[in-house]
Amino acid sequence: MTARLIAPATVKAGEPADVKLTILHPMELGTRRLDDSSIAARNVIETLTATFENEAVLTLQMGTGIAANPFWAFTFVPPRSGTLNVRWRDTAGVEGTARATISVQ
Amino acid sequence: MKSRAALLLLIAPHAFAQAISPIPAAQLNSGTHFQSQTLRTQQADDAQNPGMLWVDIGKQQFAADCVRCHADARTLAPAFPRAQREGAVNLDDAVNACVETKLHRPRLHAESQSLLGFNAYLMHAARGIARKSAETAPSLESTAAWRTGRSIWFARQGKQDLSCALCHDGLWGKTLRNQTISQGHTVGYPTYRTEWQTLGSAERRIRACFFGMEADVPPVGAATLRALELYGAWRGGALPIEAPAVRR
Repeated sequence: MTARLIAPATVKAGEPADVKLTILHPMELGTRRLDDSSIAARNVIETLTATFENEAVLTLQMGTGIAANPFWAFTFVPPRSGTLNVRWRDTAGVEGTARATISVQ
Repeated sequence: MKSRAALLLLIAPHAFAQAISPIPAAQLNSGTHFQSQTLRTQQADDAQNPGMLWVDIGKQQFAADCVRCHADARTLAPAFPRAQREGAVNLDDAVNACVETKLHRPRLHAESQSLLGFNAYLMHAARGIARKSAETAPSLESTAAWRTGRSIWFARQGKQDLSCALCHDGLWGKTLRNQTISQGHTVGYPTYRTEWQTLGSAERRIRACFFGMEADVPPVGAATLRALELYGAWRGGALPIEAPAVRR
């Protein structure tokens, strides 16, 4: 799954890091009729978690109220240099990951 | 009195059509100019622009398949659309010609992630560069494709009896169904439209315009659509490429 995770390469100690995340996903509601009059199965990103060096930063429960190709922006203060890992899973069970390295100076 | 009023009504649309003149170069503006500040901010920041997802897809594909022949990705997109002996050819056609003859793979479908990816990456690489159609304008004007494109541009069609020129040359900047009418340039395509919830090509947008006019929508890949795209690029003059744009 294609995604863009944009985080600063370096931040000053004690200062927040601005993180932006866009995920390529149709976020299918499960109500839309297709041309053959069948209903497109629900397929949305159900859960998303962001961890920094195994410490939870963000946990999201997304539903059908989120538009396609969701965009998330969040900030956190990295306690030390390390890797930000983002994982998500959609209704179809497909998992996606993205990572970014942040060094604290 | 009654007959005179009817006569005036008959004359009025004709007189209006005569009043349409090309947009002066100094007044040329891409569709971005007519969007809300929110969408313009979203477009300007690569971290927020959802079209960049497809640029990433295209970047990977280009690195894997194309760099052996095409060292500089920036020079490719501005050359299209262009007039060839068989008619007008756009960037998608050129990509597909390469995919078929050089990579020996089946053609990529219109609006597929893969084709949109190539198109988005190449247009993004050429950001800020004007299309070649600006400098080759005089020779372009003698081609059959350009003349076809121009005749479609000015032809009134559909249930509402509209032409492309009527709105995009004559009424740009005014509002239609709560949307500001743009000048109809394609330098921002492929574009992420919030209405589509995805990236889409200039061809898709032009076909949507035909639907809006309640006219016959030309099939995907039609020669008339290509000619119209060519004429549209010529109309855009030296406007710089700014894809992937974000639109309502």
